[in-house]
Amino acid sequence: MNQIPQRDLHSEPVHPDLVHPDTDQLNAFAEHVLPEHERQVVLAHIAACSRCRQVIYLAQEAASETGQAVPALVAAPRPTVQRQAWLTNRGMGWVALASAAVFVLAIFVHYRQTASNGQKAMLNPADKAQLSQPASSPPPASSTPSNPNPKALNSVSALPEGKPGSKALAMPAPPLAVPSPAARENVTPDNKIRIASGADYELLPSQKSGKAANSASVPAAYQAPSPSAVQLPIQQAAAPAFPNPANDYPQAVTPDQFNNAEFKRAEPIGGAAIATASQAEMRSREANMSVKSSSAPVPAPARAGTASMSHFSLAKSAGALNASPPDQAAVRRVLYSSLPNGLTAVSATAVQHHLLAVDSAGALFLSQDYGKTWQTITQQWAGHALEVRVQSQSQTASPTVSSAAAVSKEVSGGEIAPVLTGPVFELVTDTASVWTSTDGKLWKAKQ
Amino acid sequence: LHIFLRYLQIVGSVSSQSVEGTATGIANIAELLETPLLETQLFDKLWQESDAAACSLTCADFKEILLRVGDAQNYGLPGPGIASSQQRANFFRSLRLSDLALARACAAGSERAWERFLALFHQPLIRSAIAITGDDSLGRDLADALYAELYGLTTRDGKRRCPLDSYTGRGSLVGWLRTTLAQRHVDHYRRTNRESSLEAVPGGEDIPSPDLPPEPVPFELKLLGDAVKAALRNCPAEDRFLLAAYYLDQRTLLQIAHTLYVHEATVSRKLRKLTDGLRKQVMHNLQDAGLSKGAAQEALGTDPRDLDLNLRKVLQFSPSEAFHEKAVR
Repeated sequence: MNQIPQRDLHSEPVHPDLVHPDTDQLNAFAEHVLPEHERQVVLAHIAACSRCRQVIYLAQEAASETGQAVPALVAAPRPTVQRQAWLTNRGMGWVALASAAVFVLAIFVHYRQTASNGQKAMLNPADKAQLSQPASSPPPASSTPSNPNPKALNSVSALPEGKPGSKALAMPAPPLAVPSPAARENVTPDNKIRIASGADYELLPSQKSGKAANSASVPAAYQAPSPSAVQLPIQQAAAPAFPNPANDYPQAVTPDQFNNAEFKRAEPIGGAAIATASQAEMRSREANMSVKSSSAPVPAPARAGTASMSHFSLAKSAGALNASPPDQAAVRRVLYSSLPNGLTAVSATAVQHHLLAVDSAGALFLSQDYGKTWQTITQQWAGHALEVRVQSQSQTASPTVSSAAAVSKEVSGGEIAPVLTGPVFELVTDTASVWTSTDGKLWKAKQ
Repeated sequence: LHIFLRYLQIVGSVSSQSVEGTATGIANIAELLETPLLETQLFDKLWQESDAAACSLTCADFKEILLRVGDAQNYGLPGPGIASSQQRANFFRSLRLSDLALARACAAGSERAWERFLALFHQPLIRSAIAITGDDSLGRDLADALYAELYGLTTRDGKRRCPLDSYTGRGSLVGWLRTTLAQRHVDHYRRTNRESSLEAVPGGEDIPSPDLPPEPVPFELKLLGDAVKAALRNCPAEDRFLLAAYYLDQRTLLQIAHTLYVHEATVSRKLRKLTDGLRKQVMHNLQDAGLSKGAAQEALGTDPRDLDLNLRKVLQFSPSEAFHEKAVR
């Protein structure tokens, strides 16, 4: 038996410039029976060697012409594997990962928007607390800092969880704007408040006249909560001690708190004492408590969209004399939360369990259970409702009564007994017309 | 002797592999030494399949043939590894045993084997030779010449030499014969072609002339030529084969698919992807050479006839002239 002239591929690699594959290798390549590693070597050779390519071509052509069996062609034998591997494929894996990332981002953005809406309603508890600060709050001690608890102003963590507004609290809230002396200097000589957005807002007549006003109109700043865009109360110097929003936040008010000192302090009115209050004092309180959007009609462009909040009002008008602490708390609550249609209330008032609220679209809602259930009031007025308030109509009033003590005394003496009729709700529209109602359902134009 | 050689091979392989844990290596050696390279049961089965007895081969001869073939191919393993008994068995089963036995018996000079060989392959060999040469007489001449060679009329160092000894049984014997015919024909053509005049060669006018003194080439054209060369030389082997087979050898997609054992559509898709990639690579190379994107695109629009570039040489860098060579300039 002769020796096999084998040439070991591993010890003598094929190089295109050195040696051609032997007949056995070329035939095995043409018949597709070479092992993969050896096939690559032969393929690298024939890619550069036209002689061996021609040998393979000729052998294949001869096989096809003589009907000899060249292995039949099959389609690419890997589709099943590729189909199964699409999930584990790196490219598809990145696509899936990117999709998941987009999904998470979308949820995050949606969550942020929801929280932002919630924050719009409770943007600055300090300001709102200031707005809702009762006029009868005792004046601050002569040199008491107006902000006794700055940290509390910048933090809303004291708010209870699980209540409306707590969702917004869970979000990283921007630092709340605390009225500062420097900010107070933003009042222009023409009694306009300059805010960061560059818009000037004219002060109310009562503010111009130096009357105490705890609140100023808070226009677009409320729509776009920005620490630098929050409106500042210009009468802060005359305002009472700056309330702690953690304590004053309406959601935190429990029935027990109505009996605490602060609410008692804010409750010089009510009961028989209210009946003896003079109308002058009522108006004074009205001036202190409300933003007189009705006295300064808002330009038409400002009514829509972001400007709707410029009519933000705590409508504690004279009717507030009849407002009980639950009514006040209900007003605050509705101003901090959204109405049944999802919009925020721009104006609300409450008296004798009747809570009326106007949303940013001008719709009026009535609740008789402190905001638990709402009834949509059919529009009976022309234009958009901007503000709702309560005006009490006293048939008699003592012009000399000027203090609660006097009122109380007079009541106890029974000398003067001012009789208060039922509260009359007033609704101010964008056409500056005023509509009145006694039950909040039926409205008539005020003569 | 086989066992001793095997032992030396295993020891060398184990030491070269730097196997961690000598105990494992020793266990492997012991296992391999204990198990015979060709188990009796397997050999009996292979013997029956090969019909080697009809070719006057003995069991010992056939076993030796199998072991030599297995050693030469390392049982189909890609590296210098040690084949397990299962790998060896698989390798032996993959061989064309009857063809292998017949070829080796013919190489050994067995008359019975030659009778069997002629009965089986005479007509196919002549038909294949005619198909390869494209001429009946040339085909018969080619087949006769191969018969003489196979019969061992040629000697080397005083020893009869038969090409059938190189057949290892990996492909069919008839395929091996066809390939041998094709090789002989190509070699003959190349030899005779060198001796003929250019006018007698079909397409000889396209054969590139000897290197002339280089003419001054515009800078952009030189950059383009270099970029094309770099792009082609960085191609993988299969891509270069595709380009050569399709553009130089003018093979059809179906023929290329037969060669690569893939579907025709796969070849088409690969070619499209390859040309797109080459264009991008050439653009990249041109930009790397300092041309702007616009200038590179403009350079790509150059008339190929202005480009002094022999793609065949770039693709093949083969030392010898190609069969049916046409210059592509």
